[in-house]
Amino acid sequence: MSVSMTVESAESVLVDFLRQSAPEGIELGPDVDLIDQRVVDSLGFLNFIFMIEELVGEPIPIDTINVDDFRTLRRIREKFLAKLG
Amino acid sequence: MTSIDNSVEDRLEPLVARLSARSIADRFNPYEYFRWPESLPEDAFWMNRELLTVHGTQAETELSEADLMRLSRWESLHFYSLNIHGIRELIAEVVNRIHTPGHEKVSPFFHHFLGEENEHMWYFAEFCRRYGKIYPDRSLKTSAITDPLVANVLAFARIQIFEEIVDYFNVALGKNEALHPFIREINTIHHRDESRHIAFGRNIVSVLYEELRAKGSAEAVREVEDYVARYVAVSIQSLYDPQVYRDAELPLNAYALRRSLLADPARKAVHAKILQRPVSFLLKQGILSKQVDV
Repeated sequence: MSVSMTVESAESVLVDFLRQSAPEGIELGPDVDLIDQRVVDSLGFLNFIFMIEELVGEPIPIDTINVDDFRTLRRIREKFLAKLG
Repeated sequence: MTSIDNSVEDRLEPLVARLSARSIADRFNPYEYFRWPESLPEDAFWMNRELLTVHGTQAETELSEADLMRLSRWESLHFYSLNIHGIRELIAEVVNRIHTPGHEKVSPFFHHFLGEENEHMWYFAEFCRRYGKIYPDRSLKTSAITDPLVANVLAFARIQIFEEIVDYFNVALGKNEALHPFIREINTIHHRDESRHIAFGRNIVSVLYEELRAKGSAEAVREVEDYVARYVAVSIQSLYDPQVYRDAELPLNAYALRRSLLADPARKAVHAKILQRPVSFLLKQGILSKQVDV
């Protein structure tokens, strides 16, 4: 999936993925707190991580990062998707 | 912090006494008991072929026997790692309840439960450390559940579902004469203790859910069903890990493989088989109103 991905296309795929679990009425803006708003919860986290990993084409070393890196689309873009250039 | 209604709790007392007596009768010291082999053969299956996440799929036919053996090694290490992390969670839930108001009558068995689970975590961790590695815990800890009635049901429902899924694997691994005797033994021993924990888990889930139905709101009952259905599905999905496929050096894209396996009808049939016992129980209790699609 990551072969022809750009930051924008990866973010678009991620937003579509998150829409499936977002509570009604939540707009997925860049600074929405995905965890506080329960777009991503403890049960959805694993598939969320795998989706980001697939988009960037490499595993996320989960022991060296913290939950705040996944809180907003802006942070996810800076921390993970930016490497797609 | 959370409490069980006294009349509900009374019903568990005879079971607690019976299971505690069985725990004492079956007591053994795993730290002395196991004779750990120096190594386990890499040119053999560490897991039943039928338990591999690729079993019954097109991917299985594309893999060589050597690929499948490597996969069986890393999937078994991943399975024991899931046990380690699952046990940590359930120990935490029980530690938070032992000898607190409302849990007096079940606390005698909690002591056996905690002691045994601690030992299970030790021998699974030892297995992973000696013969491969412990896969890291990738779960997210959130505390979104605030209703104590809901939290109580979910804590023990998670334990029951987790233990019954694990037990399905333990039984199959313990019976498979083609596996290394040590692999069979560690799974057989785990199954023996788990049968008591499953009996306890089913009973406590049943009474706690009854309490929720009597005292909780319709919304709380719905919240439990939604969560339990998702927990069942995620428990199965967590068996499929791209890092395992990479460690096994499969000649396939690890993420695409995971997605295709989870969507494969052949795998859905396997999931239904793994989940048959725990989901039947949840349906019978009314905790679930329909089968879980995974």
